[in-house]
Amino acid sequence: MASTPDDANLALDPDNQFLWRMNSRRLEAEAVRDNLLHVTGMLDLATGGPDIDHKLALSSRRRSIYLRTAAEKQSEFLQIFDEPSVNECYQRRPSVVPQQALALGNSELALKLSRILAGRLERECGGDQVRFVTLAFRWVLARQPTAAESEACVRFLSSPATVAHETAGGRGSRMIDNLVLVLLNHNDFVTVR
Amino acid sequence: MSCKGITRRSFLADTGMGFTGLALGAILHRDGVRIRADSTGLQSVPGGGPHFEPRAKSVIWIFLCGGVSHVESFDVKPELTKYAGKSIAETPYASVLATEHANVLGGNPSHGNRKNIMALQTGHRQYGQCGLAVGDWFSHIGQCADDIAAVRLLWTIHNDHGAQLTWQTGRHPRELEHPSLGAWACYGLGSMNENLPEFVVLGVPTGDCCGGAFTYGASHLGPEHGGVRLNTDPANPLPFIRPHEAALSAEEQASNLSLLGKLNRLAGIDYPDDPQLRARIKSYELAFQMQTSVPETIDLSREPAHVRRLYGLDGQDTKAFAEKCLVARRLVERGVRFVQIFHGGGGVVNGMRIRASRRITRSCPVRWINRSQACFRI
Repeated sequence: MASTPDDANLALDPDNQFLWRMNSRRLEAEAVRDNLLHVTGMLDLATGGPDIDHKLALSSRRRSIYLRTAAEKQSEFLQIFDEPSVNECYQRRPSVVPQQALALGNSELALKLSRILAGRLERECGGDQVRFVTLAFRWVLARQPTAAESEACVRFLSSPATVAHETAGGRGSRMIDNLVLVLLNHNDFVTVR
Repeated sequence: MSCKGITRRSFLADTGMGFTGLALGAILHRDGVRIRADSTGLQSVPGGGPHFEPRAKSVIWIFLCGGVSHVESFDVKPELTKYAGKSIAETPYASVLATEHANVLGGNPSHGNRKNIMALQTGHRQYGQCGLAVGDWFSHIGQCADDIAAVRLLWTIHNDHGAQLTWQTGRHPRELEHPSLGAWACYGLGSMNENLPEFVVLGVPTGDCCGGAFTYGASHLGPEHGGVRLNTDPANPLPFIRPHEAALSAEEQASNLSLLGKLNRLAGIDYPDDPQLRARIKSYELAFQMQTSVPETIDLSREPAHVRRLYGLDGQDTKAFAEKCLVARRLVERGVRFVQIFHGGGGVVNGMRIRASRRITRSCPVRWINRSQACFRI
């Protein structure tokens, strides 16, 4: 990729002062939300129509561009990912803060979508854990897992935590839901290189 | 574009790619606050160390938005009463109109172009051995005159609310974003804890006209040094603090985080110098800790009765401010470097004056000082 370091250049200019490669950047707020819906197959691609109440950001499947954005009427989820202030010429200031981790890890949207995708992939892979991991990587991160990544994920799927949770009869997330959720929180999910 | 200094500093400050997985077990079972950066271990100071051994470890900065009238609080000007009703030109001080302060003193057209001097609206007297003159509205604070420092050497060339941001960044909002004081302190001195942000913001900052998010931003120092806003409401200290409908147990979250850290490090092998990746790994570790540390910190229900009284937690007028002050104290006790409190809004005008001054003076700061219970290292 254009952002992948080259050893010779890295030695000469480690901070990329001379722009010998692309600097990585984070997806814009709207794209983070749209991408969550898109990779889980839930994005509603309908165009046009009236604006959508900003409070519906976590339940609506419409693209973020149709959410209302006005003073004091901004979606909390999008604001956390640095949606531009409405009265500052829509300038963006991308940040990396713990609130983003909480939004992608704990929100109704992320939890619901991870369950939906996990359920669909489970039906497709027929209980084959390696295949589940491969499919999940392809859907969420648009690439194949490396051998080391695949191994770590398979080990995760069969870890004791699964057993403990299932015997407790928890009606919460299952381990495959958790794996998809982890991938939705992966650095590569929100990073453009 | 990444800044050279930040990349170097982040590289030195972080040992490798975060500590997810490695230290997680230890953190989960650790009680109390661990001071990582002791006086000799300040690994993240640009240039290698502070210029002198600091006595202060934390800062709590109470910023009263809009401010109180300085001439009726701690910078009493009896001459205003003497020349009340006259214009400045009619007083012996007419020469100030010929200076660069003219646009402030000459009256603001958008505010009615008032040019006549108004008398002080309250009396005043001197307090303590130092003889600090204090307006009568603030007599409560006056009683601790010998324990406080009133700084009277500041002035501004701005004639409006926008001047407020000058406190936080030294700049006017029209000069856009610059690192705030809290961001500088955290950038220079590093974090003292792993469970809470190094720089916390309580209350509602001044509006966008007067700084807004600039008041606690880190600008070019890097997003990880910006202030993190918390509410003092235990039910909702910050958005998404708990998994929706308790879908995940703490153990599940811990095992998810452990896998996430592993995968991020595996994927990051090709990008060992990516500051965003490092910041993101750090932010996930902190977010996980904050889910328990933040609600615990802002839960004031177990504070003993004498502390509640001391801070004015049960008084209708003082409650909102008292909560912020007590939460701030609990934050620095847990190793937060910098706490910025914002309180109030708009100037103190006319009928609001007495009520506002009562709210402020009857709340915490006075009592901390009064009773020498200041565990604040300001």
